[in-house]
Amino acid sequence: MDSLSYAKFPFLRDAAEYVKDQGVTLEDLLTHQAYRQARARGKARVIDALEYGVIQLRPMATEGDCLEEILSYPMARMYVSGVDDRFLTRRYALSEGVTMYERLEREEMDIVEEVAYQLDVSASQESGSLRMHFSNYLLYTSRMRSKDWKLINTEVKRGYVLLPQLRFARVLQQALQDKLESELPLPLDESILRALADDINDLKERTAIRREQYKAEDFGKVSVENFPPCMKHFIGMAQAGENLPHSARFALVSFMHHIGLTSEEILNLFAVSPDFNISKTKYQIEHITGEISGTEYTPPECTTMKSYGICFNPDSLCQNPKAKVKHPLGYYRIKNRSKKSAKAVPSSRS
Amino acid sequence: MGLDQEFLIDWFHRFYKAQPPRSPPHMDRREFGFMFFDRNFVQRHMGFATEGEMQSFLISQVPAHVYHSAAYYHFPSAPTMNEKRWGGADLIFDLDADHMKGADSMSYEDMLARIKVELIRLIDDFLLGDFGVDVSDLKIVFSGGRGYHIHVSDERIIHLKSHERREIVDYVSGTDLNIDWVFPERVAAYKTFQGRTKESRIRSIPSPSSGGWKKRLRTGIEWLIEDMRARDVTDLKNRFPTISKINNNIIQGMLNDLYDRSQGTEGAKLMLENNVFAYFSDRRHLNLFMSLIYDEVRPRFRSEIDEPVTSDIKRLIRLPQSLHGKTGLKVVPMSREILGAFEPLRDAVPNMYPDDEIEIFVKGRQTGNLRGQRYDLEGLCEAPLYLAIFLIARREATLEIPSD
Ligand code: SF4
Repeated sequence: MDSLSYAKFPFLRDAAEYVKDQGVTLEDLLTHQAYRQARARGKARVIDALEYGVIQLRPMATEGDCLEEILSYPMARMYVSGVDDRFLTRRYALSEGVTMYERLEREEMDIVEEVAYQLDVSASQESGSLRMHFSNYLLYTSRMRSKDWKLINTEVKRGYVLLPQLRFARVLQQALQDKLESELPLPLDESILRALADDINDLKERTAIRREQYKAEDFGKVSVENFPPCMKHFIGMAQAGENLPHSARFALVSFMHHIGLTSEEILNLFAVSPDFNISKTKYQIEHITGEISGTEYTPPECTTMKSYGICFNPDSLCQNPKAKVKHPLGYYRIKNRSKKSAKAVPSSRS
Repeated sequence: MGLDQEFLIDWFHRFYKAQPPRSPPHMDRREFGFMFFDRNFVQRHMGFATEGEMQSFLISQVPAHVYHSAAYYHFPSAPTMNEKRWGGADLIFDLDADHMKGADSMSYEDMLARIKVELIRLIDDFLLGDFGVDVSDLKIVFSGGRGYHIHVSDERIIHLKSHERREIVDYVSGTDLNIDWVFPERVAAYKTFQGRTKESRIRSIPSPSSGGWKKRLRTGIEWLIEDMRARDVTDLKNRFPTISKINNNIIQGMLNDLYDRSQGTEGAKLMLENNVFAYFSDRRHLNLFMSLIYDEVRPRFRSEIDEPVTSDIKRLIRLPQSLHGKTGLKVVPMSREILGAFEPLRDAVPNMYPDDEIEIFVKGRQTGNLRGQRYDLEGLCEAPLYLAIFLIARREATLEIPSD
């Protein structure tokens, strides 16, 4: 592989080696004028993740560009670690994963195989596809929600599965995401934090704003502000690209349907899920809302939510014996009543 | 303690002295658990450093049931799961009559025979077949009770967590199989009629070289075609209850499409030669055939296993070569070659149980086969010791002879 490949896939072990060979030290990277651009690219990586969920392509025409691009990756990791916020970490990991997936789509098989090797995903080429042991396949796919990824709907032959390039790239996306989530945040020593303090503070603010936007995102007619803590938590998870357990997905969709959101509006919420599949999600939503099944489901009661282990962060209202919150919808009604006189919550986006 | 309990403890004690079980592989990393004749709970979190230690425990404590963890721990005898530190677990399958439909109405013998069919399918088709497990990583064990266990110790598989094991369960049990994946539909032709375009779609059949459930259902189709060949509509409805409500004309139509040779080669043959479902004259005939595949073929080609056992990575499993407290039979490990000829009720009776007759009281009438001998007993009677142990452990007989 050459420096261009490292620039496209800067998380590779060989990319780190390459940087070492160029004689770049951590000290230089953090402070030297020559790497100002690399630091800026690193920060941009994080901002891209935050704003778009994918990292934009930047010029990689010269060796210098490539080196900067490679260096932007360790920088981004330091920034994310400096901010040290779960929402950002997950979102960043997802974005790096998605970005790699998109880039791998256009690569030669040899590069795909090499990337896999360096991510410790064991696979080998076979007749134009990639072959991996089914146990490795399960490691990365068992949490994907779509039926297409189930082992039973995969050809398993003598212990191995064969995946075409694109499907295999999706497996690698998961591998990279998992890797980043387990590695970040890195422990940073004081000198690093000090050198990056301004940028870290800026990123903290951006993260806070972005998170608020998600929370306060107004779904046309209603405000999330009055949602019970469980539902707020699910929304946060969905928007950070985490996979919701089925019970939570069900509770959230039926809840939102009941307070008057359209299927379209509910759908938008899930659009950032890592394995978002529009027709599939649409089907699930329409099933729960009764458009397909004819049965309109109601969200489960608090006791049921508790027994599923999805009653997240119950707050003082949930626990107030006088309020008698038995149902997430009850919580929402009480909250709305008490706020009736207050001014309507302005929408953050129209 | 009652007479029966003392009797069983005595014989279990003699057995463990004469034929102490070998330690399981990696014994020092396993947790052990026991149940005793006179206590009603599982004593867990035990660990043994050597085989001798384990054996002397069995001889001195004489448990009714002996278990070890499928999991490997760093500290197997630590009191909590967290402190034990999980480091992998054998993949376990439990095929038990308790989880099998219709088992209640069968005799013990028939039930064990039915289970064995499922077991062999699981081993040959799924584990050795699709999953490519090596026989050396596979242990087949008669549970001493109502079924069999399989322990898979493949290096690559033991690290899988619950989630991933559940996928294996779904695979083996045919759950969530996507028929549109197995038989993908493609547009075969466009027809334009009065300015409107209509597309016709056909489903393809997986080729003989495909793998996984594609291959399985191809084999299933071949089986179905041969199975139906000589049957008429009534016969077919009896054979396959899931179609009993279907209109006879549709069934007959499907049969004609498949087997009629008046046009030359029969449809069934063409279908398999060209790997496509294109030889049905009516959409309803095809739909019927598809539903037979899903409802009648699929269940015959999967294996009914107990889901929670396989996905639980911290479960305890019976120690091979120990005794089962509710039957007195031995938990027998065996290789795949032996399995075919293995008869649990003949081969799992410990050979050190003697033939000497003793007096027992049989509750009601009990019949069956044990150690190759037929028995038919009622009330107060004499029975060979090995049979007495079996019946008393099963609570079908007692030494406490009623006074009247
Ligand atoms: S108590 Fe009810 S409303 Fe409150 S968080 Fe739990 S489930 Fe949600």
